[in-house]
Amino acid sequence: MSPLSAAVETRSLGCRYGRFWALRDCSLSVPAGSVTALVGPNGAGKTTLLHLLVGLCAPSAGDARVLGWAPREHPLLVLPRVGFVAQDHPLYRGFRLSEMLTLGRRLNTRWDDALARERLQRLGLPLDRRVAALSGGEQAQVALTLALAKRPELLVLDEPAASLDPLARREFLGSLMEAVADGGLTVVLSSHILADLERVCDHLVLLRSGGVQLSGPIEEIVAAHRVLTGPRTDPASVARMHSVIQQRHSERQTTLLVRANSHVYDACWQVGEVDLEEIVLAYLGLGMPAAPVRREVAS
Amino acid sequence: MIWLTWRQQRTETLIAVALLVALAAVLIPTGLHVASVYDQARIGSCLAQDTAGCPDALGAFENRFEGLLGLVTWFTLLPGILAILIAAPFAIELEQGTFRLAWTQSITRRRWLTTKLVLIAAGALLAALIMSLLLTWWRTPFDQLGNRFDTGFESEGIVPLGYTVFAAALVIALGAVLRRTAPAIGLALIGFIVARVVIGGFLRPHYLAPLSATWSGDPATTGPDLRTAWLIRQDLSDAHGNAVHNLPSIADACGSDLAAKFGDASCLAQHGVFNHAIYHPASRFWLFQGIEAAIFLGLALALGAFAVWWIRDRVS
Amino acid sequence: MIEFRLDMRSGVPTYLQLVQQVKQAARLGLLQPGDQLPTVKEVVGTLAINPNTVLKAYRELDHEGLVEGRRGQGTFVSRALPVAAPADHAALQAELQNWIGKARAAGFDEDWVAALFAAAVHRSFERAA
Repeated sequence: MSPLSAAVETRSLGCRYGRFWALRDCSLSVPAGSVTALVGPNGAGKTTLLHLLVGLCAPSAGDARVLGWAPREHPLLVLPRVGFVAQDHPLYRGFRLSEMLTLGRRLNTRWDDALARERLQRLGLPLDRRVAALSGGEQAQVALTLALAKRPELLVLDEPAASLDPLARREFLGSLMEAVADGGLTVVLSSHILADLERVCDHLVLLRSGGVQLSGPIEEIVAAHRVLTGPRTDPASVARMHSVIQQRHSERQTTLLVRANSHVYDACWQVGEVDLEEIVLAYLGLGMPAAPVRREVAS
Repeated sequence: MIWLTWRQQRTETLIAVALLVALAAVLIPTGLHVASVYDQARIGSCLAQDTAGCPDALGAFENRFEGLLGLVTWFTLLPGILAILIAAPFAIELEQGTFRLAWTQSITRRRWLTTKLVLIAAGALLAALIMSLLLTWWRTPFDQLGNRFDTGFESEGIVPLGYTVFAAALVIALGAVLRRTAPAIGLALIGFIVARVVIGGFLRPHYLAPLSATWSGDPATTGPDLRTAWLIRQDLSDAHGNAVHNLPSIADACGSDLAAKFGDASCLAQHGVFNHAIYHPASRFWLFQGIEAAIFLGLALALGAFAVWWIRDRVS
Repeated sequence: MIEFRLDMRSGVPTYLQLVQQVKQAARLGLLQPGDQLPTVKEVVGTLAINPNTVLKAYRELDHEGLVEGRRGQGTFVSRALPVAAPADHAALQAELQNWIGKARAAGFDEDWVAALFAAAVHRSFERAA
């Protein structure tokens, strides 16, 4: 199996329920081996996108390729290689953990039972405990264990840490990173918790209801954006050279967040770096763009 | 997948088994008792030969077990209860979202759906079969007395199988659309009751055109066997079954009481008035069973097909 | 075994914080040549950071000759960092106290002094690199 450069590729992917488009014009590429963050406001279609990637729903427009295949048309070529944890990590509440493992063993062609048992043991979860008796963080870990025991090439997580307290979240992400450290795994996870994403992810996709607004390696995104501070003025001259993502004016001062198309030389402005959280928040705060925003961050 | 379905249904299946065991525990001892009383009082020979003292014996037998028969008639709700037990885990899975776990292992949605629906249908049929066998056996003495179409139709034979599968299909279809278990079960129960009332009450008499018979005097000697038949209507008519115009005056002339319907037969006959009945003979029992079962099975299949389409296309 | 800690708000890139902590530990004698650094898996499990960050830090340390990766075994400290002799400490500290005294006499408060010092350090090392 030749390695693909992109674990996931979508082209103008869209999904419609009746007249309502849950996802629209989504084009992205997730590099193999990356840990990619999927961020966006509620209603942008993050969950729909992730569901499209694992074949839970079918595209109404465009197409998606996961590990080289369309997940809805070739489920048996995709599902065994993809681990998925849905929002709120659904598990069968009455099952014991040993029975959850039996489920995984029977419903999967590729299943590493030893890995699952070892992982649960390391987490301190006895096999005869029922799912309903576990805390939220423990349930999330069990769901992750089930996904990892498939030895997947791609892991798709829908807000995996959303309902977890900070400690459980840290443990979950640490556990996830251990799995990534073992190698051969691409991760796509959606989350609202931006601080977590900056630690854990190396790629970002920012999705809004009009499509993908921003995508690329996080390092390059951070390097490409700058905060300009200066006396109150019209940003038109700056806007000619760079994309102004956000502008704030006070009585005496103007602050701009720009995506610089080239190095920013301007004597009027004080130029500073900006962290990922600020960048993402600025994009989330954008109104609907009049023209499609250039997608890829140039390296 | 079979293991998973069984494991998910385990609790509900055991409850259903317990219900059936309880049913047997009630029906078998009482059924044996009724049968032995039937034999001792020689009801069977009474019905065949109508010796003197038979009407009393029959009356006594009926009075003695009136309460018990009434109680057992309530068991006609069992198909609904069993169906809900068997189909509820399916609705729960759709409500709690655990289907997203099952559909993203390594099996196709089609295999998941097929396995589940086949096993649910098989379970429903099996439970209904056991229930029907028990009740049909229990009711044998009463069926001889002539209650088969009346209180027995819905509890005996293959009709309960149709009811049970239909109710299960209702729970499944409603669970798929509503994605909430409690309303699905509630609405399914309502739909189940409405369907049975409408079909049993309004359609069943018309499965076949009923027979019409006229006679004079006691039907046991000159008329049709109405004891075991399903009587739709009984009145006085002319020789062809049509209404008689001046019936009240004729009745007065013959000194008959219209309400009694068995007046002075020869006098009435002279005036062209006969006893008249519209009925379905006992021989039609199994035909009607087949038709009603087929109707409910057909409805179940339609609901099942709808549920399959909905789940394949509209659930994610 | 060295224990890493991160300050995500310091503005210093994560990998650089790891590099600095390794160097600091070496300087203080907590890490001796031959000691093994935590595996990438161990570090990311505790800190919940991307493995590439740790790899980058270890690569940097390897590049500077401080550590070496042995295939199949891990990453090990390969040489000691020069530890400044105590005598140097005393002389430098005395000069520093002197300078601080002058700044305070000139009217600078603690924050100003610290800012002046930080800027000077930054400029000096930047130019040297």
